[in-house]
Amino acid sequence: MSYQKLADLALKLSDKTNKGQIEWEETAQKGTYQTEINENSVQISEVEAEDFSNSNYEKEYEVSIFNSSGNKVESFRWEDIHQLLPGDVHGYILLQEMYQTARRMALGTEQVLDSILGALDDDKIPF
Amino acid sequence: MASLAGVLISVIGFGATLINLAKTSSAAKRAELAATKTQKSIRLFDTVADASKAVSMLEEAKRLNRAKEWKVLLDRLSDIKKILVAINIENSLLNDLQTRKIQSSVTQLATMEHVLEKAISESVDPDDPLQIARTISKQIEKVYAVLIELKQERTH
Repeated sequence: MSYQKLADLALKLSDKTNKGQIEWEETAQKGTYQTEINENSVQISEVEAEDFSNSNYEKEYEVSIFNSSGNKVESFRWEDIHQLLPGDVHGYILLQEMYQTARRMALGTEQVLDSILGALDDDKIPF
Repeated sequence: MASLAGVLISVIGFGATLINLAKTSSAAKRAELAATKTQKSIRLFDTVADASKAVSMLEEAKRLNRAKEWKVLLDRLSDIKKILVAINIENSLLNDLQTRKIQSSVTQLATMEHVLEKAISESVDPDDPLQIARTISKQIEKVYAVLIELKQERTH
């Protein structure tokens, strides 16, 4: 299914995620991260590429949209939006990078790295 | 002369009517405000009660997860989700941040339900019960934070 609004959503989510304007959090589902936008939620998941998929990738990234009752109302992968993205944007790379950034944000990787790098810069390592 | 007196009486009568109308309108507005305030107060009381119930049920859900009571846990999560959905949908008292916190919990609960449904249908344990425990704890923190804010609002 190709749907321009989904491509627009992917681009905007990616942009806001890169700018740190969206807060992602872990979920009970391994490899799935979630954020809230108004009264709805969005999740991004890393999933095994399905056998029937035309994808050449081992891993795929799926964006799911939930309404205020927690029901999934839409989901898409890169093949669904690729043709609708600007020419210089690859759907798979867009979703993969967004997933990786969302994961780092949810796990607090940036803060941990900043803390370690800060300590290394200050020569305060206790060994 | 008589017609002048008649006009004067009419003007005075009209003025008195306007004053009475203003008084009535003001009283009606005060009554409406009082009714709205009472309604808001009742809704706030109900929301605090519902949020407290949700926190207690989430605590119970943690225990059920620890005891590996997957089917009961699934039912309990579904019940909690219904309470939180009702809080969000039927409530204009929550601010944007509170709405987002409750919404986040609703979707987190739906995801946990999905994880449990899958495990139960395959007759296996969920992949990561510790992650479920962590997720439930985070929802307790979120709903509890909203509950505290609403309680503070109630005392003001």
